[in-house]
Formats: sequence, C-alpha cells, structure tokens
Amino acid sequence: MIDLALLSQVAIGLYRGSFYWLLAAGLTLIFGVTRIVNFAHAAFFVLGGYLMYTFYVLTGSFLLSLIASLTVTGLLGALTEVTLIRRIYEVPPIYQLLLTFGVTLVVNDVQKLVWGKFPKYIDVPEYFKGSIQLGAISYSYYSLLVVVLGFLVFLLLHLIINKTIWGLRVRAVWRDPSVAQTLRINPRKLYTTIFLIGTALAGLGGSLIIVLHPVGPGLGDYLIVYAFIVVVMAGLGNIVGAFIVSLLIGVLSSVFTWLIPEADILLIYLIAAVCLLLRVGGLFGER
Amino acid sequence: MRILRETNVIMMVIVFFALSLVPIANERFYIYLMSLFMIYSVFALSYNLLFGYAGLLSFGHALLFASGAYVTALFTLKIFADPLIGLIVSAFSSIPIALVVGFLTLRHTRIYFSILTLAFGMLAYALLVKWRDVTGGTDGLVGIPKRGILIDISSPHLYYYFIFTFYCLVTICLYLLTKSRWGLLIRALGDNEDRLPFSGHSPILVRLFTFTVSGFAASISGSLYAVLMGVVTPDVAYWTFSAEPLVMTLLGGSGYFLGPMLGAFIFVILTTAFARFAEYWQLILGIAIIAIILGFRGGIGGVFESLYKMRLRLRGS
Amino acid sequence: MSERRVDRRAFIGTVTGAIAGLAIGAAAGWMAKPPEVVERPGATMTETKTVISTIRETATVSPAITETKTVTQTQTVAVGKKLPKDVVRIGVLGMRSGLWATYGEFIEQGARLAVDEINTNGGVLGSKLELVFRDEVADVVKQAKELVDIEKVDFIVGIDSSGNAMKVGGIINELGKILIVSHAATHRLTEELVYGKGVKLIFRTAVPVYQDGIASAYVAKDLPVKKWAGINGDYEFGRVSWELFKNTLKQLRPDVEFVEEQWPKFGTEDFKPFIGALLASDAEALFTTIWAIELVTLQRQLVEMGGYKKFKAVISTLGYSMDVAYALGRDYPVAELGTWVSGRYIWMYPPTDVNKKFVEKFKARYGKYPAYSAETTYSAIYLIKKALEETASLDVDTLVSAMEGAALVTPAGVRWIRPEDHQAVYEVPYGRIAHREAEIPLLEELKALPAHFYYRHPPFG
Repeated sequence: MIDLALLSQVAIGLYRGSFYWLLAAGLTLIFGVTRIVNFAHAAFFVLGGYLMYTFYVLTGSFLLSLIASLTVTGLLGALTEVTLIRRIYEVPPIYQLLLTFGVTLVVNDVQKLVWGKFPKYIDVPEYFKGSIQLGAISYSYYSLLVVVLGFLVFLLLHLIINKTIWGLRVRAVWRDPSVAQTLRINPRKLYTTIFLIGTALAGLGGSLIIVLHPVGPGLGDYLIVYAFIVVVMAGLGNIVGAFIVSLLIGVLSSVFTWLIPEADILLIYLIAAVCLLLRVGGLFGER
Repeated sequence: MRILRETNVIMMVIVFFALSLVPIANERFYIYLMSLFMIYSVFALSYNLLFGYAGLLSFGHALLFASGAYVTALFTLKIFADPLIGLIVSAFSSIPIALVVGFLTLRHTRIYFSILTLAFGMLAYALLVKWRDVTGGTDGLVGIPKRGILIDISSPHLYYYFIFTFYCLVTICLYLLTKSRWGLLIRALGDNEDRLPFSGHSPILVRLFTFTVSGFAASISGSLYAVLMGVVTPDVAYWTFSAEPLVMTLLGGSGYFLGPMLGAFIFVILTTAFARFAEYWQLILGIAIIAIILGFRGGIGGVFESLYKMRLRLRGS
Repeated sequence: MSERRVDRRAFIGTVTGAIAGLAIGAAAGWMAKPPEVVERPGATMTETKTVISTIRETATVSPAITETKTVTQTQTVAVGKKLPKDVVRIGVLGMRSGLWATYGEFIEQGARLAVDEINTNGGVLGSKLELVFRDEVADVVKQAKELVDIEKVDFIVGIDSSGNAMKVGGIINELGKILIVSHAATHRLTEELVYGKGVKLIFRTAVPVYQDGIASAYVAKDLPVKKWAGINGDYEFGRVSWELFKNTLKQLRPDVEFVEEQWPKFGTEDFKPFIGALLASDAEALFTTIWAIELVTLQRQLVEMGGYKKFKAVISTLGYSMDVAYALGRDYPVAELGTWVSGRYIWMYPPTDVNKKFVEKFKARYGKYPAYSAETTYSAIYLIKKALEETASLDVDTLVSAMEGAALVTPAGVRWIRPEDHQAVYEVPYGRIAHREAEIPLLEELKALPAHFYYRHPPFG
C-alpha cells in the first residue's frame, strides 16, 4: 500500500514537473542565451492558455488551436523584444526586469479586458479521454500526454541547440557575443529568434495545461517565481539541468506534500534554499 | 564647508524642509501619503545600499521590513505598549536576523544570492502565516498602539513628526556612511570585489556589514509602518513587497544616493493617482513604467544628472 | 409689409411666452424648497411618522404548495426631513485585479443595482446616492483613507479579503465613517473588533465563517459517512473553518473520524499532489473551503483523478458561488451522496417575492444569476438607506444606533443586525448540486438551518 501510494505521488510529481518544465523551458533558453530577464514570461505562458481557449472555441480542433496559439504567443514575444526590450540593451540589465514587469501589468489587464474575469478552461480532447489506474488514483491519458510532450520538447530543444548548425551559432553567441560577431553571426537577430522560440514554448505550455488548470487574469504572477527558481537552480542556460530540476522539484514537492501536509507553503522555497545552500553555484553548473 | 556644496546635501535640506511643512496644510490624507513616502524612502534607501552600492540584488528585503513590523507589533501589544521602545527593540532585533540570513546567503553570488534571499523571504512569510497563535496568521495583529508610556503619537500630526525624525536620522546616517571609509569599501564591493582582499579587507565581512546596516534601516521603516497602519499582516514579507524598493530604486536611479528617494516619491504618486481607475490601474501603471524606462534610461535621477552636467558645461568648468 | 406683421406677432408671442414661463418658473421655484448646500450637524428628530407597511409574501415552496403570509413591517420614518447632503457618497472596496477579480465585480453589480433602484424611486429622503469604486488590492488602507478624506464618502461597503477587512477595521475609528463589510468572512472582525474592542462603526451583512465551519457540520451529520478528509487553504479562513467543522461535527456525531487533512497554500494552481494524498487515505467524504478559481481547478482535477469514485459525499462551502457555477456549468461533478454547496446567499432561497424580483432584475441587467456578494452588497446599501431614512442624519453615532437591532427585509430573507457584534443574522441553506438542463447547476434538497442554531453567540468565549 505504501509503495503504491509513493509511486502514485511520484507519477503526479512527474506531471507537475513537466508543468514546471514547460513553464521554464522558454525562460531557460531566453535567459541563458541573451541574459534578458523576462519577467513577463509567465504572463505569456498564461496568455498561451487564453489563446488556446479562444482558438479551440473557434475551431474545435485541439491540434490546430495548439499550433495557432503557440505561434501567436511566440510572435507577441518577439514583438515585445523588438519594440521594447531591444531599446534598452545598453542600460544595466536590471532595467529589463522593470520593463518586463511593466509588460506583465499590461498583459494581465489585457487578459481581463479581452477574456473577462471568469476562469477559463477547455475539455480533454476526445482522443485523450480515459485513464489508467495507479493505486488509488486515476492517471489520465492527458496527464501522460503532458509528460511525454514535455520530454519531447526537451529532446527537441537539446538536439537543436547541440546538434544543428543554427544551434552552434546560438552556443557561440552564448559564450561570447563579441567573438560571435567576428564570425559574422548577428547577435541581435539571434536574440529576436530566441525570444520568439522561448515565448512560443511558454505559449505551448500554457495551451497544454489549460485542460487541467483553468486560467484567470494574472495567474502568471503566481507562476513566475517557479520559472526563475528552476532556471537559477539548473544553472543559467543549462537546458538539461532545467529539465531535470523541473522534474525534481515536481516530484519532491509532490512526495513531501503527501508526507507532510503542512508543508506546501514552504516547499518550493525550502527545496530551492537547501539546494542552493549546499552547492555554491547552480546545480549543474553554468553553460 | 565644501560639504554644503554637495548636491545631495542641498537636496536633502530642501526635501527635509518641504516635508516638515506638510502637516501645516492640515490635509489628513496627504499627511498619510507623505508618511508612507518617508517610510518607503527609508526602505528603498536601505535597499540601495545593498543593490546600488554593494551590487547585491536581494529579493528578500521584505524579511527585514517584516521583522521590524512584527517585532514592534508583538512587543507593543504583548510586552510594553510604547511605539518608541518598540522601534528600538525591533531595530536591534533585526541585527541577529540579518547576521544569520546574511551569513547563509552572502557566500553565494549574484543570481544565486538573489534566489536565496527570495527563498528566505518567502520562508519568513510562511512562518508568519503558520505561527497563528503568535502572529494571528493571515488576519494579522490588530490594535498596535500609538499612545505609549513614553511617547504619545496618536494624532496624525504627531505621528508624522515621529516618522519624520527617524526618516531624517536614517537618511543622514546612511549618507554619512556612504561618504565614509566604509562607504568606499561597500562601493568597492559593487565595483570590483576581487580587489578588496588586496587592501586587507574580507569581502564577506564587508558584505555582512552592508547587509546588517541595510537590514537595520529596513526594520526601522517596518516598525514605523506597523504603527502607522495599526495592523500588520504577513503580506509585508511577500516577495512582491521585496520588489517594491527595487522598483523605486530603478525608477529613481540606483547610481545616485537620493535616487531611491526620488523613486519612492514617483512610486507613491503614480500608484495613488492611477488607483482612481479602480479596474484598470495596473494597465496604466504598466504603460507608465514602460514609458519611464524607455524615456529615461537609467532612472529619472539620470535626468537630473544630465541637467547638472549641462549646467556645468554651460558654466564652462 | 406682411413680413413685419408676422414678425411683430411672433415677437409679441415670444415675449408673452417668456413672461409666462418666467412667472411659472418663479412660482415653482418659490414652492420648491431650496436644496441644502450647507451640512447641518446632526439635527435631532422632532417629527416622526410611523409607517406600517403590509407585505404580502407568497412563497412557492414546491409546485404543489403555495403559502401566503402577511408581514407587517413598522418603520419610523423622519417626516418632511431632509438629509444634510443632497448627495450621499458610498465608497465601495473589492478585489478588482488578480485571480479574484470576479468578486470585486460582483460587489459592484450589487451596489449599482441597489443605488439605481433607490435613486429612481426618489432617493433617500430626496437625496441621491453615489458610488465610488476602488480596488482593495491597491493598498486597501490607502484606498480607504482616500475614499474618506478626498472622495468624501459617507460610508464604505464591500471588502472581499479578511486580511483587508481587519486592516480597514483597524483604522475605521480614525476614519470616522461606517464600514459595512459584505464579503470578508473572518469571525475576528465582529467578535474581536466590534464585540471585543467596541469598534461600533463596523457592520457585516454577509454570513461569516460560521456558514463554512458550523452549518456544514449539520449537513455532514446527516450523511451516512464516518471518515472525513479536508482540503483547505493554508490561511486563516481555511484553518478556522476546518477547526469549526471538526469541533461541531464531533459533537453532533461522536462516531466520526477525521482521517486526512491537506493544506494547499493560498493561490494554488495545481492540486494533484494533495488529491493524491487524499485518495491514498481511507476517507469516505471530502470537506473543502477552497473557493473561486482554485475551486474550479480542484473540482476538475478531482474528477480527472477519480476523486468522485472514491468520495461518496463532498461538502464545498463556497461551491455555489456564481463564478464557479458558471465556469463548471454542466461539468459540475456530483458525488453519490451529493455535492453539498453553499455560499453567503443562494439565489433560489428563500422563495419569496422580494427575492424573486431581485433575481429577475439582476438577471435582466447583468445576464447572470446574482452572486452572493452582489446580494450582500445590495442589502448593505439598503441598510444604509433604512438608517438614513429613520434618522435623517449623517452623524455616525446616530446611524449606528439606528442600525443596531435593525431588521431588514432583503432578498436573502430577514436580516437582523445583532447589536452585540453588528453581524447580520440570517440563514443560508446548503443544497445538493443537481443538473436540470439550465446554464448552471441547480440545488435540490435545500437544508436551511435557523441562523441562531449555527451562529456563534456572545460572549464568544
């Protein structure tokens, strides 16, 4: 009995970890490569959910809505970078934090304006209905899908960065933007592309989770902290690290919640504090 | 007498003088608003010691503010009902707290330090929420007295001058600190930390010193806040509250001693003015912040510096 | 030539008309009382009239049973008096931003409906009511002070968050205006601040945490389950409700056990680990005070994880809040022995004409059934009207005396403002979620316990 309960909690933790990963993946990429502190990242994640809702209501197709929503979110992210963030590259990076904080405020109220204040969610798409029994819990096929997709996103990202020519350029800029320029790689254009991909990833995440987590205006304010904790604990820009850390936090918080019901309000901060205190530097080293 | 020519001193004298006149107008709300401004000023100035001077980006500064607020509240409610004693007690209690938290977090650098301070701040928040018997949980502690044994500051005017006194004291002390040898050391932390050991100083000790002094000032602002409100709730320890002095510092400019004060003023004015739009004030505030950042790169304090430089150029110096 | 004659006739006609108009206008002006511009300090009432109104209440209890009851209401109305001001301003605080923004809107809806009704029907002793809205999330103390000192409001109503209610309650004596809380549920507001510390300016028209913690136990006592689990937010509302529920139920059913409790932090977006732990326990039924968007998440995830196969009964104390009812709609899960829900007002109870008219008007204006905090705020405005009409005064002490012990006929029933703690006493039922082809689920098997049974009473020890 105990073992099965533990297994169920771990399985739940993998889902939660995948949630955190989908939230943080884009930020890892953006922060890692460009060092831009995009405080609005979680707001775009939630925006992805809202867009998914709208497209789904319009088209009734899960796949189409998913693609549409992540594309639009990505484009909006790139637009933000080009029109706003790019203008303050010369100032100390901390001002990007303030600027993107302003963006968050705007995005939150836009969500309120456009979609209203009532919570929004979409139903599980037909072909994913059903679940498997894992001890006392039913583990839905959709949750499984999220976990699998999270892993695929990780694989894809990892492969692109490490095995493609374009990825090589990214890594060059990562290491040293000035040297990259001598190799005729345009960091500016790359930054925009990274922003597009990173925000699109956030949009993808938001679109997926709206089935099991209703969205409300300003939900991102509660999520942004998780994203930054994952990114920092993993070691800035470390994609493998971020994936593992996300899953780790998900599993640990799930298991500890079950063991110590009082702990939830402390958990993620305790985990972060303990991990960071024990190691000077990120969990997996910086890239 | 050269110190009198210092811009900062001139500005401080002007601001102190202007603030001292506020209660004369007898407008209760503006007295309150300026009381808030002074408290936020101290909070932000203390924050900038860490951020602008020492280069440490903390997301847990609300922890020290909350310690000042809660210790004052608990002391005046349960032990001895006097706001002045409460303030002194909470200011000095902040020292061991700052030392412990500082010791744990300051060995780490940059972004790791930031997330660690965030974590500690939120753990403090959790403690305040969960230790219900003592803190009253999320409903908080009510009835924090303004009428004490030693001091009676129960009218808004009297209370204003009480805050004003500490506001001036802390601002002047922090200013003198930045001008002193210690100030140089703190600045060295921010500019080029690796060279500190060469002059015989340990970076970690300087950091700890800065953190403690900064925390001391922050807890004073927290104590003043608790008595002003009459009620404290755990949200004064939440990380979003830690972000406020950062926002104020950035708005005003972290490179100037009085930058955070200017930022606090702008922050209070903007949030108060925009709150008139009950439903969409966040939208307007967000647009305002974006506009300010794009318009005044480096905070609004930078504008004054440019003007000053322009004046110098015109004078031909 | 003819033109000039026409002109002259027109000119004479115009002048005559003007003189006549002026005369009539002057007469009318002479007869009408000049509006009071200057505030008079609380005038003592010298002339009163006792108005006996007969309200015929027709209640449809079930399709077969219709009762008619005649209620005689006596109210003292100041005759021929006017308020010191032509316009009485009421400040309204609610959560306008963030995940609970629906609640600020509900409060606004109730307030506007009441004020528009009152103003169209002659106002209060001829004076109009005006509303000023502020977001309590944007530093509630600053908003309250600004409302009183700058916006010059005469009353403050609303407040969703208990922490904010305590904050405003803590400074209300300084502000010197009456505060009528219409949502925040902490017992400490009335028990500690009003009863304990004698802060007379605070009133509350919404049923507090007694509804979540005590009334719910009476529902639980009749359910054939012995093992309960609880999932509540880790903050005062969750803690106090769960404690009250456990203590009350233990007395009513000594055979009951509480086998599991989970404490998600306030503002949780994922309940799965908690649900996993709940499912791993041997609980038969679930109690929760989780509300708003978090409740929507909880319910959806409970269904997804098989919670409704395990739990035979679910008590969700704020489950019939309209944002949740509309969001879940046909997806609102039903447990074998029932999903029992309540709120601070259930639109279908009591089945009186007053309530039906209110629901109709609300639906006509806003397109949805009234949320509970809309009704409680609506009633708060009417409480203000009643006190103003009786006293013709804006003096707070006079108004407080008029409000204490007042009995008000409101959509939720008769609210009695208990003098000791200024808490409105009225009962709100629990009901079982039923799906009946409507846009929102309906409630059946309403269980309405008389309020005096489940409210706590002074001295509150």
